[in-house]
Amino acid sequence: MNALKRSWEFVKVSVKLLKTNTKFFLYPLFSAVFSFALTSVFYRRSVYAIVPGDSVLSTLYEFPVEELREWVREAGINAEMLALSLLFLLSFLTIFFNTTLVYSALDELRGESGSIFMEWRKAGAKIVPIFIWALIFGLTVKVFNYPRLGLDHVETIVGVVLAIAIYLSWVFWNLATYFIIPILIFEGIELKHCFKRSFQLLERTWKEQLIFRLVLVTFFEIGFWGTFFLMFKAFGFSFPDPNPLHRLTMELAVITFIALAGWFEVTFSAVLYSYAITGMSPKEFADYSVKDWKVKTT
Amino acid sequence: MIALQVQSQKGNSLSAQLVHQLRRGILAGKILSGEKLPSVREVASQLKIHPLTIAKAYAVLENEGLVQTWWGKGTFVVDKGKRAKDRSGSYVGELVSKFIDETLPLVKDGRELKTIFEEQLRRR
Repeated sequence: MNALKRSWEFVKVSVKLLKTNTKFFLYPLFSAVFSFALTSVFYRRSVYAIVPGDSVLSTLYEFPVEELREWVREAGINAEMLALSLLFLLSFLTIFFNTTLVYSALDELRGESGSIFMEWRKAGAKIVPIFIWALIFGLTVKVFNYPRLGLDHVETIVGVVLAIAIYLSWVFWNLATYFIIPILIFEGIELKHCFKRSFQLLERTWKEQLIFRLVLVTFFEIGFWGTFFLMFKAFGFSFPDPNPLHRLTMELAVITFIALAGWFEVTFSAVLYSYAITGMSPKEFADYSVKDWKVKTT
Repeated sequence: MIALQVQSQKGNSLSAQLVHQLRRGILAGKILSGEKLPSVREVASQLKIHPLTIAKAYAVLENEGLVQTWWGKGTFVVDKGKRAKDRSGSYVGELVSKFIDETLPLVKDGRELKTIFEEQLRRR
C-alpha cells in the first residue's frame, strides 16, 4: 500500500478513534482556552511584535506593518523576557494537554479507557520532562522567530529565500520531534534519548508525516481560514472590527479551530506512532473495534 | 528462542514481564546474538495480549541497546560486541536492587543484610 493510501487510512482510524471517545476534545479545548486566557493577560502589542506570527490575536487585530517594525526595533530586554515567558507558558500548557491526549489515545487503541482525571494524573507523573521539553520547545520557537526581526529585508530575494529556508527548517524540526511525547510516555526513556528515538521513527514514517502535514493539514487550514474570512465578511464583520462582540465571536471561532486541529493532529500522531512501533497495517487497525481490541489467533 | 509467558500481576505490567524475560534470555546467551525475535503479531497471537504491549517491550529493549529493529525485516538481537559496555552490570544492579527491596525489611539493618549476603557467597 503506498504512503498516500496509508496516510488516508490513518486519518480514517483517527476520526473513528475521536468519534468513539469525545472526551478527547476536552484536552485541546482546555489547552486552547487556557492559552487564550494567558495570552489575553499578557496582551501587549510589543510582545506580539516579538512572539511568532502564529498569534491569532495579531491576525484579528491587524497591526500596521510600519508600526510592527518600529515595535520590534524598540523592543527592550523586558519585552523579550515577557515574550519568552509567554512562549514557555503556552508551550507548557499545549504540551501538557497533548500528553494527556496521547495517553488517552494509546489507552483507547489498546482497548483500555480511563477517566479524564486519571489521564491527567498520568501526565502529571511526567511533569519534569514535560517542563524541560516545554523550555526547549519555547526557546526553539524564539530562535526560529529571530529572523523575523529583520523585516526590512522581507521584500528582497534574500528575504524570500531566507523565509523559505526558515520555514523548511521549522517543518523538519517538527517532523524530527513529532514522536517525542508518545515516546516519553510509552517507552519511558529519558527526554535526551527521545530525540534520537523520534528521529529513528521518523525514518519509518516520514512519507506519511509529510503527506499529512503538507497535504491534509494545509488543505484543512486553507479551508478554515478561507471560510472564516468569507463567512465573517458576509455577516458584515470587518478586520479589524471595533465591535467587541464581533471580536469575541471571531476569537471563539479561532479557539474552536485551534482546539479541533490540535485534537485531530495529536490523535493522528498517536495512531502513526502505533504503526511505527508495531508495523501493523491500517487495515488491521480498522479491523478491530476501538473499544474491544482483540488479536486474531490462527 | 525461549518460551515467553506472562500473567496479570499488580505492580508488574505485562510489558515489564516480557522485557525481563527477553533481557535475561539475551544476557544469559539463551537468545543468541543476531537471532531474530518473533514478530509483534506472533507474540500477540501466542500470548493473547495487545500488539502495542509487545511493541513497548521491544522498544524498551531497543533503547537499552540489546536489540535492533529493522523496518520491514524484524527485531534482531544485537551483537555482544556492539552492546553498551556495562549492560550486564546495570541489569545485575537492577536485580540486586530488587533483592534489597525484598530482604531489607526482614533484617535489622543493611549491615546485617551484608553479613548474611557475604556468608552465602562464601559458601558457594
